[in-house]
Amino acid sequence: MMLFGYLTLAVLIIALAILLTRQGNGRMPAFSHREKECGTVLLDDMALDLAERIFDPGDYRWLNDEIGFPALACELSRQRKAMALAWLRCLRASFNELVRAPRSAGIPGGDDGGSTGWAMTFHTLRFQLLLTYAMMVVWMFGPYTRIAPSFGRLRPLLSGGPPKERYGVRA
Amino acid sequence: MKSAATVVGIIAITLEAGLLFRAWRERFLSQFPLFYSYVTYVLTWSLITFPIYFLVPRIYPSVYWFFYLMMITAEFAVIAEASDHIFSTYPMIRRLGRLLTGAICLFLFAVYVIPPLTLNQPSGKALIELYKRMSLTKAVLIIALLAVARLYKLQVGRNVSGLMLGFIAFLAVNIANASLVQSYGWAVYFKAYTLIEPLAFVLALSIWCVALWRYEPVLAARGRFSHNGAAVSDPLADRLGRYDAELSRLFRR
Repeated sequence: MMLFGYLTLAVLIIALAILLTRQGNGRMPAFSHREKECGTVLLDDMALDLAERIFDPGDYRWLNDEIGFPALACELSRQRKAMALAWLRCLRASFNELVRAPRSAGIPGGDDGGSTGWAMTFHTLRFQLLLTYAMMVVWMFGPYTRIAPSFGRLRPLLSGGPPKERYGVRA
Repeated sequence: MKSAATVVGIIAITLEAGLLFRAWRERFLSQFPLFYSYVTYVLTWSLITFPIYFLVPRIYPSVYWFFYLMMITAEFAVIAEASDHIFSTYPMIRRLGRLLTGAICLFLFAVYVIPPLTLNQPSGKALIELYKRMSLTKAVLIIALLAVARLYKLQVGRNVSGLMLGFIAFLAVNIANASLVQSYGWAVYFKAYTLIEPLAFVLALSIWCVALWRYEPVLAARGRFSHNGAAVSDPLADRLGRYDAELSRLFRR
């Protein structure tokens, strides 16, 4: 059984390596359909306004609470969730594009070596981890969920007062 | 069987010498200093142990394992060098190769390679177990490096991908070979083992000869969004900070 496992592993390792080296050897990076859709710079004002709107629960609360169309509110939430995920994917694609900026591109700060190189690498990894976490939360609970864990529920225990109400946010 | 092993040994020495000669002639030895040091070491080792194999076969196993343990340790350094070639062009992930190499090696050594060494077992069995587990660690490391390069859509280049592929072929055969010798025992499998292992190295050398026939530096991919006028003039750290701030704002909601 152990022998069969290691033999299979050996074959899998070779197959995977061939597949990965073939893909990594192309002249130009192959962009997915999704990445091609993100053909804008995400950090300009218009894109940031769009992000504010996507993650703002105001419209959902207005439909659900004020004019009483819960079915429409649910549909809006579903569509906003798809948009939020698309926005986060675009943010990742745009960030990966920045990661691919070569040393020779004439970018100031690109030739930092030593500890700065390590710091940049750690920041890059941290960003990727947080982004993955944010995508996971939005995918599971929707765009109107608080992404960072809150200690609001512990407040009554700590201070003796009631929890602070946050408009439109599901904890 | 002995004549087959001799032929394979001569082919290996020829390929090692050819690989070094080609790099020296084309003046790219300095591009892969650790890799060519490794090949020089293997060539020297082959030239020393080859006569011992015929003249003093009694001491050959001890000499073989001494040189071999040095060689399998040096292979980690060669993989680290290859990882530098993949990531060093990109300032934001320049150290990612070293980081991955260090993290994967530390983790696998702690949970997979070291524990069997603490068991009380014959030295022959312990050596083959160590050899198999170190080979698997290196194979996992190479796959992880290639997968991360793929994730960021980085071009690996003919030289480095050939170097990695040669190693993977050698390591995969080593894993299978070591498992077979553990299952069937030295008495049954010894002859096949002593032929398959050098054959796998000849396969790796052949791949390296083709991939490193000439030096082909990787031209970094040009981004689609990163050349939009003002954005490109910002220091890279500032741009990273802006992405960070945007994501942090999402977390502060």
